[in-house]
Amino acid sequence: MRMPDHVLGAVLFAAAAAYAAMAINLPGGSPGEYGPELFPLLIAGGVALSSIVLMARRFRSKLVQASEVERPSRNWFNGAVVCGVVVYSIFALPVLGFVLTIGPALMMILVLLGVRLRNAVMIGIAATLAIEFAFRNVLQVPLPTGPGLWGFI
Amino acid sequence: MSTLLEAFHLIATWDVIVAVVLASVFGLFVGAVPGLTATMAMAIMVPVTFALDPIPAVGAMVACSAMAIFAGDIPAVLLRMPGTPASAAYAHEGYLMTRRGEATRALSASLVFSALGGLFGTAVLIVAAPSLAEVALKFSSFEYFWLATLGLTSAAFVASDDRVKSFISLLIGLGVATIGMENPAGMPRFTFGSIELLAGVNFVSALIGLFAISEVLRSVIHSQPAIPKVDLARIGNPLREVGGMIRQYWRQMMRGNVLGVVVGVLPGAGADIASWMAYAVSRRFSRQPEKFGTGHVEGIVEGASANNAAVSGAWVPALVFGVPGDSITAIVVGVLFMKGLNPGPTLFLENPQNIYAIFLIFIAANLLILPLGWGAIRIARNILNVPRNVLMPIILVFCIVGAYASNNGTFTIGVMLAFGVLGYFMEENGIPIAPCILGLVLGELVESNFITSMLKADGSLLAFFERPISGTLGVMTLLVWLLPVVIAVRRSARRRRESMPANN
Repeated sequence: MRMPDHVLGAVLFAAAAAYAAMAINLPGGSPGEYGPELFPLLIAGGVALSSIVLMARRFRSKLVQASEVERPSRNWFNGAVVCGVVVYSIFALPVLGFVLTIGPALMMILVLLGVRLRNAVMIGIAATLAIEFAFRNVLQVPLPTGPGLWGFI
Repeated sequence: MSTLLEAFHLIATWDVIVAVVLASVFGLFVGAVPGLTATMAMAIMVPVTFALDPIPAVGAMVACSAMAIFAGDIPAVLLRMPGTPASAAYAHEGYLMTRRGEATRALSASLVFSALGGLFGTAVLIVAAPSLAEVALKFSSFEYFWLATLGLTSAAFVASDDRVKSFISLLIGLGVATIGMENPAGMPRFTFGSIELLAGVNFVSALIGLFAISEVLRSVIHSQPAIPKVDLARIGNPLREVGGMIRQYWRQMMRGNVLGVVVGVLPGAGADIASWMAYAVSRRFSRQPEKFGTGHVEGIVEGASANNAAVSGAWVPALVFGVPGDSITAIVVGVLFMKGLNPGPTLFLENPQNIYAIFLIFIAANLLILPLGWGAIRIARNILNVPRNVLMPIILVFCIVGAYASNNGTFTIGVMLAFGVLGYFMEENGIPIAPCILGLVLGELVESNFITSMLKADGSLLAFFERPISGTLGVMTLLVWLLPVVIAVRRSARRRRESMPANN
């Protein structure tokens, strides 16, 4: 995900252009007045200018920065699993409730990060129940209950 | 006097005491774990404050931030791994003292001067904030526009060495703030037909994503070095050597306190910058500069005094103008709005008892640093040895629950994830996160005051400089914008002058 400055500049320039295009097409926006498009257009202009500066750096200095050369190891699979667990919780929480959604997900990430299965199960159960108790009973935050037995707890 | 009594009654309740103590313990824990920042502690605390009344909620935030900034010194001194960036300036100094068997002295300095720095900052807050509030009552949309712009500009210039990337971060925050119907025209913008986005991006979820989820992602994606085991066998009573150090270093303490408050009050600069500046000033004016870098306590005294003073100082613009001094107070401003304690001069007029209650909590929290910090130092081994691969998944669950609780729905969990990925992407590419948060908090204020001023002035930009305070703030902002250009031009001219004789 680490990009050289000129690539980052190009990505941001494209994003600024898309944002500006959406701003121009906002309903109620008309040129010459202080409509809802004015402030977003100023922001898009600022991002576009900054992106050009980032891209221009490439031509100003031919020296490749050390940070661009160094490629420390990245475990993208772990990152994808964490994001996957968050997406899963979006869909599973209303159906399964907090305990049945979070407990297994927590155990899975613990195992993924190298915690022994037995410890992961124990930590997963204890942490899920403790967080459920703290939020539901102490802080009075209504977490989704889910079906069956958990619905009555 | 009756207001003060009323304020005392407000804080002398069990829910305030329990909230402050628990938030303190949480702040100490997060601050002491290397890699977890005080801002992250605050972001995770926000959902907890939903269930609390306004005063315990704000009290919890005050206590959490003060403790986390101090606790960052513990791993900095013992392991040379600063718990928070605010401890980085003197981590090497403290670690060298630990290796020489002087860990107790280094931790004593950190503990006591942090508490004293926080109390000094609180005193300034108590004296300065009400007076500034009276001035702020005269502010119109022109002054508020410039004040917010000055804050954002300062944030962009001090957040990172790379000002272009800081500026981009700021604009990303301002851009996100334009989502929804909260704009002067009252038109839905960038909502893509989503009803949930009509009210704007959920601030709490965005915050948790940017500060906590991005850190979880970084932790699981990057191979983090294991934290070495801590040997605390030689740590004695951290309060034993305090008297002598206060007598010996009282000038450094006062200088650090003043510098910390000044840096804290400035919009955009916070405890991290304060401690670096204080350490540098300490070295510059020391009678024994040669001892710096060899394990000398003087720099720790001044740095620790400054960073906790800055935490209190940053509350001055946050409470008086609603303009946060740093990323921690940006979160606080969000919580104040959620709790109906809208920051601004009217808060001082309409609910002075609430303001005095916050002041009293500041005093209590900084006094609490002494016993709780002492306890944290004694059990540092247990805190520092919590495995990161256990901690991060549990933090992830807290984040999911926090985002869910912010709106009692799963949409906000998606918002949190999107901002987590955005935060990770930004930091991977050297774009700092703090300006983005300030942009997100101040976006609406800047836009509404800009449009209102333009309408009042009938499009004349000169009107932005016609009122005395507005003009002064405007000129200051423009100077901050122009300063880097002037520096760059002078540097290039000097380089050209230097290269000319060589060519000749």
